[in-house]
Amino acid sequence: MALQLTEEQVELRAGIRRLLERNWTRAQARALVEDPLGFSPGLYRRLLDAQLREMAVPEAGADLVDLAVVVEELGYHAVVSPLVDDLVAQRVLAELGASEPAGPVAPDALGITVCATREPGFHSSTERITARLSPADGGGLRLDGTKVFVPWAHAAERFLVWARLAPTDELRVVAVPAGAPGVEITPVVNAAADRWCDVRFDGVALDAGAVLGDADAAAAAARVHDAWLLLHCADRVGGAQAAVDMTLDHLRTREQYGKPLGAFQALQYRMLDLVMALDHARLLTYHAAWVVAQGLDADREVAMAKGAVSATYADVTDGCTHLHGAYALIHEHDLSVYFQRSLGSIVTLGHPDDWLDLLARDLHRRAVDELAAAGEG
Amino acid sequence: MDFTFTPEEIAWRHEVRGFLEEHSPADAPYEEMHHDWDFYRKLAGRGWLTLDWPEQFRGSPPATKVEHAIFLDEYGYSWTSFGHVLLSATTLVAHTIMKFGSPEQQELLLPGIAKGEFVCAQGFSEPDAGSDIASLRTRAERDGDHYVLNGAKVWSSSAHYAKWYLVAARTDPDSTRHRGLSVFLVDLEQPGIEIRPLHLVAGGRNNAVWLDNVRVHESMLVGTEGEGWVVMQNLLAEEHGGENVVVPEAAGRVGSGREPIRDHVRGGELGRVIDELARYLTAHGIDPEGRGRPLWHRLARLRQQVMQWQLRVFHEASLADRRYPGEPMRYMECGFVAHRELFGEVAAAARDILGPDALRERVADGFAPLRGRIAWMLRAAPVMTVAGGTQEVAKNVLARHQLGLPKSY
Repeated sequence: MALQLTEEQVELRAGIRRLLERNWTRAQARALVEDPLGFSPGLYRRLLDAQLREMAVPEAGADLVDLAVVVEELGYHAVVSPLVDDLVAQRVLAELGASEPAGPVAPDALGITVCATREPGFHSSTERITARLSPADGGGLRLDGTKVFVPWAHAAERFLVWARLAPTDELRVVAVPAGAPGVEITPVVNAAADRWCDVRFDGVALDAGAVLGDADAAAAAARVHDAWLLLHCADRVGGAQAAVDMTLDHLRTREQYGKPLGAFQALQYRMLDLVMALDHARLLTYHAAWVVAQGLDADREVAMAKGAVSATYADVTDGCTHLHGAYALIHEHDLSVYFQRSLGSIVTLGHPDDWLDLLARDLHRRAVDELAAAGEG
Repeated sequence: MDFTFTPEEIAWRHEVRGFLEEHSPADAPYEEMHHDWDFYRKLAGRGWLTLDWPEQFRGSPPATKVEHAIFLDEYGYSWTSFGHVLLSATTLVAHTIMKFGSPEQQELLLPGIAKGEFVCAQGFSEPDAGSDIASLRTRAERDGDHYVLNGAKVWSSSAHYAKWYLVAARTDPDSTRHRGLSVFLVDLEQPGIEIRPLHLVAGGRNNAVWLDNVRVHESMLVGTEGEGWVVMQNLLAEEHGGENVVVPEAAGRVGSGREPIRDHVRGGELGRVIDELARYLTAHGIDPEGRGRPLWHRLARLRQQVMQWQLRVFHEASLADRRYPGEPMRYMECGFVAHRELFGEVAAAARDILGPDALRERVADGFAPLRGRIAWMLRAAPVMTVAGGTQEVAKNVLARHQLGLPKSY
């Protein structure tokens, strides 16, 4: 075994790094905080030109580990964009056998697709979905329901909406053009400065063909969706690494009381603990991505990664901000971008208790099996 | 990236597991320094006391570090005392002699260590020289072709049943700090040596050793006179280093006998605590959905912590196999530091999950969960963050060498 990048992955990372060093600065990332769109369409076009979206399709020969390598690098350079959510949607489309664009796309359009899964309420899970697809009066279907925290909905051209199909109320995934009548998009002004919208679907008229796949395909797509959200973990691992690198630099160069800050043991301990936690988060992320890429049941590994990254990203960005003293408390400091994004983990990576429940049930199930086996023996 | 074990690694794991299930001393006390000679010689018979010795001393190629980590994973899971294979000073003394000893010293010690005929102890720490080992005061004065040693040593694990004693002393009385130190091999059965027990809260004993005009022949000087610091540093920090080389690897895929590591890794002694706690809760009808949910959440969090630690161990081992192949395991990596804290966290969580029964420590006590293991772990946790160097010193070393921060001690 060897937990290192392959030669292809090293090249892939270097290519993305070159692209970003030529076309992106953290100052640009900071400026996005006040930008209504919240990302750079120019950079997005370059990332699409680099065939990243195509990598999400199984036939491309890339897997989730390769994409995690790419996304970690994007996270390191503070590329805030819809890319991860777009990639997840592409993979969901592929799972549903519908990877071709559903309709004509304008030549200069970015063709962004995102998934709309979460509904109002305390926790989110596919069992709680109430958005409904029912027969429309004039033929075809109508979609009614409300989705919350839909990522980058204001920039998307198409939504993949999780909904229940009347009369059986089985889960389905349906493609909905963002500009369709009856779609109402409201940005969520939020503490994390991430871009989400609440989206209301009020009698949105759809062809029967908008429904992608059957109930089994929808269930499979939901699992793929949850697993591929791991890419958000990779993004955060990259971001946390950038925060760590900036802070190590600060500790080595900033002097107080006649010596570098890094010579103070109290600061060394804090820093080392953060770095070790980040190592763990990265290992869990790549391990989970690898298990997904092997086509194995990865629920447990994905849960561990999301839980660990969510907590660690907050700890690292908070700790690094603290270790900069007052320096990093202003928007003009690059660290501010990374810090503010930590608040969004509860949306992008899920409720920590949900992951603990999943791990607990897995442990319990195994213990039940072992006790039964011992009883028989 | 490759998260698989090869068929050979899986076979090795099962060989180790089978041996331990058959031979690990049943109902032995949990103390780290508990020593069972019969079992020890069975390990020796398999060549497992010398897994990380270079071929020239071992007679066959050493285990890879991944194989060594697999060995320790299984060994830990068996809850056999680690004193036989890991914390034992014998390992460190052997590596010191292989690197710095004369051919005569190597002949005197290495075959006997490999066969399990005797063990060794180490005498560096003193009552007034702990983390700051360079301040040691034991003296070695020349007298003809001998040195005469006088001083006091503490924390000489296993000295009360060891044969050879590796002692650091000051040969230049006018020297200070790390200059003027020398290292000697001392026969613990010779006159002038008094070994007094230090009874540990964690159970078992450690030792204080008084050296009163102990005569050591000059042929038992290890390395060069006055250059002992190099020898000592190697022993203490053997544990760290290696070039930061990244060698790309082919992507690992399941198949052809390769299997995911997640299906085989056990998490060592801590992994077994989690498995046993899960069975204990389940057997007592406490399920994750009802009132037991907080307990199971705590267990789930530990499961994640143990998993990430195991991934780290195998990651570091696989890197080390590339960076310094054929060299011994180095313990002062992050995995070592992470484990020491995790041990205490697992013990405390297990106590909270089990309640008062966690304190029962007799294996034969019918009400003792987990065979009394948690009671011992609670007492042993403070040992973990001190033995082999305090956690703070270990972190200072890592901050300096791995994070590139200035020296702070």
